[in-house]
This record gives sequence, C-alpha cells and structure tokens, in this order.
Amino acid sequence: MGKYRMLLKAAIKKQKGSIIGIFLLVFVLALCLFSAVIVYISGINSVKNEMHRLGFGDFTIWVSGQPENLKTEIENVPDVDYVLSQPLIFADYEINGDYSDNEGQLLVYDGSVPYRFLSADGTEQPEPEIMRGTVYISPALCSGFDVQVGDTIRFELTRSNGIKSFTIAGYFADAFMGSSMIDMKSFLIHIDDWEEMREELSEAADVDVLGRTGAMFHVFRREGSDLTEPEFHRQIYESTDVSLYTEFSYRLDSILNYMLLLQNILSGFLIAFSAVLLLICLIIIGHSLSVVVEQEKRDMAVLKSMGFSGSGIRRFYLILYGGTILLGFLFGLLPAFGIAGLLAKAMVSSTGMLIELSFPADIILPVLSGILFLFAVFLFVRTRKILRISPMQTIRETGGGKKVTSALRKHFLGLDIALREIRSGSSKYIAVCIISAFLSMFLSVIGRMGTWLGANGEGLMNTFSVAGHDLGVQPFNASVPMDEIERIINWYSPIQETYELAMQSVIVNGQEYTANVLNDSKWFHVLSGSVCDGGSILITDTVAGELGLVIGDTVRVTANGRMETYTVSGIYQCANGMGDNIGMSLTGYSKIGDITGYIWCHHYILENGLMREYAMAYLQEHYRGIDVHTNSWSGLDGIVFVMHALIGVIYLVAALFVLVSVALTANKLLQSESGKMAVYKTMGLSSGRLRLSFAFRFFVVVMFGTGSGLCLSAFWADYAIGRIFKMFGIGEFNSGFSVLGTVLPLLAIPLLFFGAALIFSAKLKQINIVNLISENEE
Amino acid sequence: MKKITSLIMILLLTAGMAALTGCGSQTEDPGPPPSNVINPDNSDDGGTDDNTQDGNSVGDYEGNVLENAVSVRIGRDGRKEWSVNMYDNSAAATMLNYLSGSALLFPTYTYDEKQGFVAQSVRGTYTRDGETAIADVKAGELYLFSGGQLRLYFKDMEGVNITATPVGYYTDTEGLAEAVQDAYESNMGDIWGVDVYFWITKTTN
Repeated sequence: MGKYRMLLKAAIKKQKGSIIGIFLLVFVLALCLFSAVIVYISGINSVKNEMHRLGFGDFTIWVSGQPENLKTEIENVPDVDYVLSQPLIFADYEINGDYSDNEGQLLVYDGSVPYRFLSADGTEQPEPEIMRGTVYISPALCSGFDVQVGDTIRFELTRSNGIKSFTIAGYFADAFMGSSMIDMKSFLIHIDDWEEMREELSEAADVDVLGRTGAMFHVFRREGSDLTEPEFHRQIYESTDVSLYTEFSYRLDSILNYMLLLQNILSGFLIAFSAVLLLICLIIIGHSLSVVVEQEKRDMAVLKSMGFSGSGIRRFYLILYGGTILLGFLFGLLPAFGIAGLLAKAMVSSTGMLIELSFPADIILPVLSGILFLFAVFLFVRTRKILRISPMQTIRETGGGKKVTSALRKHFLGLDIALREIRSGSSKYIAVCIISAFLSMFLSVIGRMGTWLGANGEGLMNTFSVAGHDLGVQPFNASVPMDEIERIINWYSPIQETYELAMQSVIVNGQEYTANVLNDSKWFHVLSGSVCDGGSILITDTVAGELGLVIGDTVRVTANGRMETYTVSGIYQCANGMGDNIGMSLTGYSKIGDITGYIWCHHYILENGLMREYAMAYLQEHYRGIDVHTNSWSGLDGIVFVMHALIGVIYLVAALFVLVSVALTANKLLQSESGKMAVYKTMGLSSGRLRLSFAFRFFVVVMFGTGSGLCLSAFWADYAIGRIFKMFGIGEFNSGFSVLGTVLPLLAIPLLFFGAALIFSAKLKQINIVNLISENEE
Repeated sequence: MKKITSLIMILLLTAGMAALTGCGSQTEDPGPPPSNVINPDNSDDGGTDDNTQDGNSVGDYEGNVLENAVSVRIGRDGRKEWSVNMYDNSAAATMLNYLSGSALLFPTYTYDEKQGFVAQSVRGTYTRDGETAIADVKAGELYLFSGGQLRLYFKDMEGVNITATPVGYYTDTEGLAEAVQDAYESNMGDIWGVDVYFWITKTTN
C-alpha cells in the first residue's frame, strides 16, 4: 500500500495540472448537462401536473356562445368519460396603451378551480380574497406589456360605453395559456363582475357588441378507450354539433408543447452542447493519458523493475483518472440544482409560472451511470499501453519524435520552428485538431440558427406566419375606414404588397385545424407539390403526419356545418399552432365558409419594415374596431433573447474548454520540449518570439480543425437542425453563409487557441541553457 | 505580453457578443401623419361629392368595357353560365382582383323582391371615383354602393334614384329574374341564412 501512496504523491506532483484540468472539464460538463436535464424534466412534470390539477381535459375545446345541450351531446359520445365546462368571456383588452393582438378570456374565480396565486417572481402566495373591480393575470404579461400590480386593464365589451376597467391585484399560475409563447391570455375576476359583463353582452345590440360569451369544454376520455387521439377527436366532431361553435381546440400535449417551448429550446441546446462537451472531454482525457504514459514510460519501467505489476500501475491510473472524473461529475451535479433553480426563476415571465424543481433521479442516475461506464471503458482501453511497457526496451529507447529535416530561415525562424515542430510531433496535435473541429462544428450550427433567427426574430416570424408581412390590420365592422388606414400606413412607409388572410377553424377528416385562407394563394410557402386552388388544399408536414396524408389524397373539410371534398395539392410551411393548420384558397374556402364576414386581415409588406411599430402604435391609438399587429407574437422577444444569451453562454463555455485543453496540451509539450527550447534560446530567439512561435503551432493546427468542422457543418447542419425543427412544426430549415455561423467560429476558435497558447507558454521565460545541461546530465 | 493576451480575449468576446446581439438598426418615429393624409382634400364624408356624375341610367355612364370578364352561375346548384361584362374602372378592377379562374361561392344575404335586387357587402378598399346618380336601372346591372355594398338588379326598375358606381352588367338578361327568384326560393332555410348564392369565375386576365 505504501508504494502506491508514493506513486500517488509523485503523480499529484507531476500531473497536478492535468488532474485539475480534467476535473474542471467534467465539472462544467456535468453542470451544463444536469441543470438542463433538471429544467427539462421538472418543466414537463410541473406544467403537466398543474394542468391536471386545474382540470385540463384530454383535449379542450373553446366554444363561443352558450350552447346549452352541447356539453350533454359530447358526454353522450361513447368514448367520452365526462366533460367539465368552464364559462368565459372573450374580449379585446388594452393595458397601458398597448392593445392585445388576441382576445382575453375572462374567467370566474370562485375557488372551484384551484388556481395558484403568485408574486411577480413566481413564488407562491396565499389564496387572496378576490375583490370586485380587480383582476389577476399571468406573470407572462409583464414581459409583453410592461405591466405591474396596480395598473389598469380595459376590456372592450360593446362599442357604446362598453369598456370595463379592472385593476391588477396580483398574478396567478395559468397552466393552460400562461406562457408568453401563447398570445391568448386568461384573466381571473370576481363572479359578480363576470355576471355583470355577461348581462351587458346579452343586452347589447348585435351591431354594438364586441365581446362574446363562451366556454372551455374539458373533454376526458373513458378509461380503456381503444381510440387513438386523432380518432377520439374525430369521433366527437363527427357525432356532435361542436364544430359549429368551436373557436379552437387543443390536445393536452399541444398546450404542453406551447407552455414549455422556451425551456425546451433552452434545455435542448444545452443537452446537445453537453454531448459535444462529452466528446471533447473524451478526446482531452485520451490525449492527456497518452502523453502521460509516453512521458512516464521510463518511470513506469523503473517501477516495473522494482516489482510493480503492469496491471497494478494501470489500476492506479484508472483510479486516479476515474476518481477525478467521478468527483467532477459529483461536484457538477450538486450546483446543477441551484443553476436550474436560477434558470427557472429567470423564466417565470416567459413560462408564466415557477417550475417546481425536482431531482429526476430516474433519469439522471441512469444517464450518469451510462456516462461513467463510457468513461470507464474509455480509460480501460487507453491505459492498455501501460501493460506493454517493458523495462529493457524502454531503457534502450532514445525517445524523440519523427525526424524532420527542414531549413530554418533566419527571418522566419519562429514560423519555421512552429511548422517543423508540428511535422515532427503531429500526433501530439491531433487532439487539439479534433477538439477545434467539434467546437467549430457546434458553434457553426448554433451560429446558423442565430442567423436564421435574425436580430429581431425575423426567421421565426416568417416560419410561424402563413406568409411574410410587416403589418396586419383586421377590421371588425363596416365603419372602419380601410382606405384612410391604408393611406396612413402608406405615409409611414410605402406599401409594396398587400394580400388578405383569414384564419378559420375547420375540421379535416374529423380533426380540428386552423385553415389559413389567402385571397392570393401565391403567398403560401409551398415546400412540395403545387399551390392550392378551388378544389384543393395545402397541408403542413405535421398534418400530413397526423392524418397520414400524401399529396394527391382526398380529404373532407368541414366548416360551419358545411362539408366539401378537396385534394391535397401540396405541403406548405406554417409552424403556427405547432404546424396544426392547413392552407386554403379564397375560392376553396368559399365552398364551406362565409367569405363575406369580417374575418379578413389585410397584410401589408412595407418598403421600410422598421416603420411598422410606429404605424401600429398610431392605428391602435386612433381607430376602434380593428386589430393591428406586426408579424410577431408576445413570446418572440423571449425566444430571441434566450437564443442570443444561449449563444453567448455556449461561446463562453467553449472558451473555457479551449483554455483547459490548451493548458493540458501546452504543459505537456513544454515539458517534453524544454531542452529544444533552451537550444532555440541559445540561437538568439527571445522568449517572446518563441512564445509566438509556440502559439502559432496551435493556430495552424486549429485552423485546419476549424476548417474541417465548418465543412462538416455545411454538409449536415441544415439537415440536422431541420429534423429538430420539425418537432416544433417548422417544415424546412435553410441557412447559408453567415457571419455568426461561418466567419465567427473560423476567427474565434483559432484566435482563442492562439491566445490561450500564448498565456500558457509563459513558462518559456524560465527556460535557459541550464535546462539543456541538466537534461543531458539525466 | 499578459496585457496583450488579455486584450485579445476581451476583443474576441466583445466582437462575438456584438455579432450575436445583432446590432439592429433603428429608425426614428416620424410622429403622427399630417391631416391631409388622414383626410385628403379631394374626399369628404358626405353622401355626394364632386366626383359624382349625373345620369338617368347606366347607359349614360361612359367607360370602357371588359367583355365577358366574369362568368356567373346563380344558385348553389345553378348550372347555366351567365356572362358579365365589367367596366374598366378601379372599383371593378378591385373586385376582379378577388376572383380567380376557380369558381368562388358568393353568398348574398339581402334579397329585395320589391326593389328588384340582391345585395351583399364585398371586400376591398374602394374609392368613390366614378360614382353616378342614376334614376332608372335595368335588369342585370351591377352597382357598387358606398360602404362596399354590391347590388345586382334582376328587374328593370324605374325611379330608384341611386348614387353608386356601375361596375358591370349581364350580357344576357333573359330569364335572369326567374333564375334569381328560383335560387332564392330553393335556398330558403339555408343554415347560414343566405338568400341567394352565386358562383363567380373570372374569365379574363
């Protein structure tokens, strides 16, 4: 045992840098991976539990009007267990001068639904006694409207004095649509206020009314039902009149995806980045072990001649490196919970509720075991060399790398030395090269996504909207002077193009979707097939997958009680509703829907798109009976901010990995080359020039690695990102050359390696001819 | 040297972050639009304006005609194609923009047997240029009223005294009144409350 203690002391003394470096890398990897996993799993569990607790059905239908027998009708459907009805009032609202794009849903708070009340930072508050004239809102509104407790929300019920004002009294956790990714928002008010509003709506003349009553029908499936979700959905829509009243309907999973969109994006990227970090860790540890075995060969040979067995030395190194890795993971796991907590708190204004963090042992322990097993196998393979070291052979070896003869030019001495060293010890730089390739590949992927996203989220806007536009204006009555409005828009910026869009609920083969109807179907983003006409429709990839449709298939589309058969003419892109939508032409929709109503939103493409916000603000302030919006939604800013912050964090972690990997590699190189360096110094090279030459080696190797990484990224990044995006209903992803995805990694990674190598070559200052003499004495 | 390396690192991170944040450009708020944009001099809110021409019937209206611009079937199950000539004015052009070579099912919610017309609001932003005061109308004539109401007169009517923009007329009016009346009667009890349906197809470019 004593001899192993001696061995440990010697190893710690000689390999302190490597061990600390490996510990740091594994620590960062564990922190990154486990905080992402905790946020991801806790988010899903937390929101799902809250949705169940508040009574969200297997799917929920929002209906307008007060259809008396509809609930019973749905309950009579064979596979329906029961239906919970939650009455509501739809009304447009304004907060601090900003008008919402979507109607608010006013709900009664009478304690029958156990809502949780929150402070602005998401911590739970005791249940308040709700007062008349007050309203409770989702914290997510704070980011969209810059709103706080004490502010006023004005709901528009009727044109004549029908504005009802409420003071914000606090926040509640809205698990159905509290996330800033969902534009629709719920508001909790006193039952007497709600009744008063309902009465006002029922007494208002048809021409005067703006808001309307409605309900949420939470539909629960009978236990043991054999139907698939789409079949269940279809059964209800085909056996009841619910389609006549449906505003929209969502399955539990769809709402869950919306609620968790931001945290899924965040944790998804961190998990993917962790996978890259894991590979880099393996490369660095593998390289470090090889160098250690090479450098310690003589000592190991001596140890063997002293009676140590090869397997004993190997076991020692397995324990040393394995222990360091294990400690790195354990120390990384502990603060991961705290980091996840910070992330959860930071996301309250986006998620609309504070995620209840839990330690997902059932996920983390198997993942940790798997990774540790991978490291164990890796270490076992990489330490095989130790067994093959024989004392006699090692003593006979003179060492040194591949012999390289190349001219050293006086004026380019530093450069020539760098190239010569790379050629003579090429194997020592393979790890650096691979690491830079991996890092550049991942940073390029992230950069491509950042570029696609755009400075203001233009990429997402265009993907989520049916067709690109700067401004949309939807008039709700005949008195809206659209000609005047167009003149005003045109004054802010000349209108380049205009078209009209209606978004209507339809049933396709028994399943509810939103139909995007365009008066000019050339604006649809068709991915394959052809644009739709009077007898055909376009579907998204998501709908094609859900209904098992291909181009050329025939579908039955129903709206407002009318049904027509259409052919699927093509696949188009529109991620709105996670891709749960279809595209129809004006003539196609006219067969099943009333095209003469106020369902049309006029979309404008402006010469100077940046003027849209000013035009929107003016129109919102000066015109009633219209809805004005830009090609954006309340959650977009959150996604853009998170993505950009994430790119920053990933660059910082990458920089840290670069520093550690250069520290490990440079240390070993300098140890093995101290003699050579002393000789170069005697030739008249200053420490500064030698350090530049040393750093230049890294620069050259990393340039090669980065180039390879970028090439790899160019070949597969779009495909890989496209596959991930499909999960969010985004049918196609294309990126090209960009500063963020191409130029930045190409510059940043080699320069980071170069800078780090310069820092860690400071040791060269202390090397002098004495080193050469002492080495020769050895 | 340490300073240089630190500087390199800081520059790199700064450059990276600047690129990441997008450095989006801003445009200044031009303020509210001037009043002549909101209410141009050549428009007013009254029922008549300087653009209104006087005339006794659409025959007095002077304008180029797009022959057989639209084909119409009357009634949801109508078979007969009725050809419509459209005037070459901006109102007709705006309406034609909403049509295509596929048949559009157009519902009308106003059927007035006594006044001899069917009417429905149509989409589009219309100027009131070309508005005409008309005393008598003939069957098959199409008029656009202020507020966007489109009327088809299916009977000859005298002394209606309307102010509207003529947008087109049916080339053949024989049996038109009967076709509209039949379509109205066969559509009674429609779930949307539509009086008469029309299938409209654009037949001109």
